[in-house]
Amino acid sequence: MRRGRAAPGQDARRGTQLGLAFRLATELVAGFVVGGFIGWWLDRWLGTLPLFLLAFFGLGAAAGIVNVVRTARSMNAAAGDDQAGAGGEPPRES
Amino acid sequence: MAGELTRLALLEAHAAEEVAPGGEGAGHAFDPMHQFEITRLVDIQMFGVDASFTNSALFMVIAAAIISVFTISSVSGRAVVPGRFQSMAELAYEFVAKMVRDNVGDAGQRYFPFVFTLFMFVLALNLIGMIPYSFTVTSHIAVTFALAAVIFVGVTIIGLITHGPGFLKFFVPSGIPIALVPLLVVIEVISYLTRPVSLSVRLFANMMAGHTMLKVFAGFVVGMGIIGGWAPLAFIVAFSGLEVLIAVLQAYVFAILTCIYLNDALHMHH
Repeated sequence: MRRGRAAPGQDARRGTQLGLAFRLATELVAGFVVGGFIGWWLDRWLGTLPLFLLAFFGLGAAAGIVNVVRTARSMNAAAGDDQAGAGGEPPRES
Repeated sequence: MAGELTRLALLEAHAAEEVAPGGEGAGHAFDPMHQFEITRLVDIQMFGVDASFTNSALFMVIAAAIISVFTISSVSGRAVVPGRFQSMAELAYEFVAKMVRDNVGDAGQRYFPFVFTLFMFVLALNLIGMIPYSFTVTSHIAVTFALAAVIFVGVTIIGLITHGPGFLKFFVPSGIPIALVPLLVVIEVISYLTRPVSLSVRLFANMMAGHTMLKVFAGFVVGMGIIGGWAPLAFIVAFSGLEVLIAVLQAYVFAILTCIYLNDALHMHH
């Protein structure tokens, strides 16, 4: 019974953490997808497969990582604000 | 006629699926993706384009109607001491107004109606999707990508109008060697282009994954029978609560990212 009552709060916290992790993952994957698509599209247009596909896949990976770093930085800033504002519990590591 | 044919084709596909997977038991087709199926309710062919009124369109209309009725009727009383519904509408208004003010500043107040509409629309679609037998419109990437594309194009146009050609400086990071500028500009442009993709994929994947998981575990309840079925049933109950949270959270994330993109376009800093 105790476990059952504790579940919603835990689920919620895990849910938002999952959300943060998922956000970073989509940022990274979106970089790959967009870079790869631009490269593929240029190749189809110029008839130079796989030249631009490879080049833009690399650039897309770089863009994805830039996105992830930026998102992580803004998440850190938000987390810092929350803790400073609420003065609440420090993040618990398991 | 065309509708009849597609319906027949769908029926056939179902019959085929029902035969194909072995070990599902009792010949029941257990298909967790069935809930995402688009069905035509009214066939409309316009200039050779299939513009049929589908179940997806129906639920969008329902969402728009619910939001309209909710906001218009709840504030029509204009009570000084608000009732239940007026409080809810005022809370939603203040929530979004604060979000716009915090993230975009005073310049963003002009775009408040758009952000509010967007937030309420996505929220309503997500929450309606939690009702059994309903259809989750936001679990289709076509819908979420269309929304994200509108935001992306709109925000870019706002940036170009506000700053003119100077908006292009947004793609040139400051304080780097000249030799690296071309490479970094390309990376920045790709990074900018990923916005509609990540924005739409996030909403669509969250909604689709959650609803699929609910259906899969619902299948376990039936499959494990009266003895073993209680564990997945308990999980579904807990997970439904989490899904409601995710529905609200994703609408919030969608709206707040729109604000952040607007802020970038209006104030041009990362």
